[in-house]
Amino acid sequence: MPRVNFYTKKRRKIRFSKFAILMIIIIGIGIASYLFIDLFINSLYTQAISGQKNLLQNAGIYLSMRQDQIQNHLDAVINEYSKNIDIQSKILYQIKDYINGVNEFHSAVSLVRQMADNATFTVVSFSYSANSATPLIFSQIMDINNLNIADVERKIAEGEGYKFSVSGSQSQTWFKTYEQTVSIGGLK
Amino acid sequence: MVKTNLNIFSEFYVGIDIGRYKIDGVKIKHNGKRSDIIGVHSVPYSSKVFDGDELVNEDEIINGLVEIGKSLKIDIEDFITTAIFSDKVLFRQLKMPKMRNKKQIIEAAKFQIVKELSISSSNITVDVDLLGEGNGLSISTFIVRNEDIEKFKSFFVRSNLPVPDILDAGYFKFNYLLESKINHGLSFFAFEDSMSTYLQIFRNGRFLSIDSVTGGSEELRENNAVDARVHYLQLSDDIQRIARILISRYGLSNENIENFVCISERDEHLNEWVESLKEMDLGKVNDYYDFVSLKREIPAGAYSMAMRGALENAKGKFLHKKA
Repeated sequence: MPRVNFYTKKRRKIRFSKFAILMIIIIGIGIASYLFIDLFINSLYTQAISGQKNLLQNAGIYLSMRQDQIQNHLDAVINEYSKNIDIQSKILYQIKDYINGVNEFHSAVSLVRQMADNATFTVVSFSYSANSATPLIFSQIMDINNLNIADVERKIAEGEGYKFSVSGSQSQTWFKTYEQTVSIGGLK
Repeated sequence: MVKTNLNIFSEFYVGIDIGRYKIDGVKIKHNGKRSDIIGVHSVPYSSKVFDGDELVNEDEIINGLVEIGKSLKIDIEDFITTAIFSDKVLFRQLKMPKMRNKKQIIEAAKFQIVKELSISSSNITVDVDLLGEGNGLSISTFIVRNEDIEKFKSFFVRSNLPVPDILDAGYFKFNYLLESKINHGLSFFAFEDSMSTYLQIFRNGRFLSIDSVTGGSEELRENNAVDARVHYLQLSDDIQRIARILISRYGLSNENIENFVCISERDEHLNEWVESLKEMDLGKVNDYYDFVSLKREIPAGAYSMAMRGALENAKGKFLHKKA
């Protein structure tokens, strides 16, 4: 049976409104897919890093000190401790590490520890930031035999709203969301 | 229960038959296997539109199309099938060697036609129907002048209707309801247009050829039974002659004619034609409506074309795929 058509172009047409709805659905599915993938990757990432021992670096949590401020105070600290070469060298060593970006967190916390160890100096300002909701585990600075050090760290964290908790006897954990600046004044 | 419609495209198919005496429109909804008639509307011309084959009053057609469009709520998404007047479509049967694809065949046919008729190929549109025969192809070629296509298209544009999706040949507009009924044996289908009458021959459901005789419904000037009897006796005689010629041309003289179906642009005296044809020993003669079991209030041409649109979009499974 012949089926002739003298219009060579045969196309189905749809209304513009239907076309617009279709486009919105397609774009919506695209965005939803993106968000889902993003969420999925994020959750995988969170899952992965929560199991890491070296949590701080993997989670992108950095302790930072503003160099101009800390330099002034460290100058004073160094001057104060100039009589004790050993302590001074230790502090300088930590500053060097910090400035070179080697193990930032550890260096900075060690610096605090060094400073807090001695009752004769004052830390006027100390700042660090966290960009993740992931709990901080300060296991590497815990020293159960040195209550003075633990107490200083605890004061720093709790003073700015971190919840301090001890899980087992191996770690101390502070929880806090998003970026924070901790200022410590008058530590003895 | 809420039925979810996930189809992007419309399920509505419209057949518009711009006839010699009226315009018919039929809208159907075709969903999978089921078709339902949604709307039927006919607009008879209030004044003379054709003088012989010549179109003399386009406005009457435009007005009719506008009315059909409103009545059937024709939408941009509806799939519209219509047919250009039969006398505007030229038929030629060609023989050619086998070719790879339809496009190539159309180009070759066009070349042949241009040579034969001495017309420019840029002025015509050609479509083909293929019938494989031995080493070569028997090609039914249908030719329309581009200016006729453009004029037909302009009717729709001027009526603010969407441009049709299919522009069929006028003498094929009834074919699509016949298809399933003429699967076996030799069948003829006669269509009386205003100035000519067209006769198609089918064998086992395949189209073989079409021919025409001069004489059509315009000769029925006096609308009375006696005139109709005389007219149809003459027409049936001519048709019988051409049927015999076709049978002999295709070497089918030893086959019985299974069905002979007829329809006219004017169906007031169709029964007269059936009666005259019955006297001609042309197999079982039926009028179209009886043959396809269609209610007489449904315009056959428009309905058949709407069905063509629907079936061509039903994943093509109803179509002949053979080249």
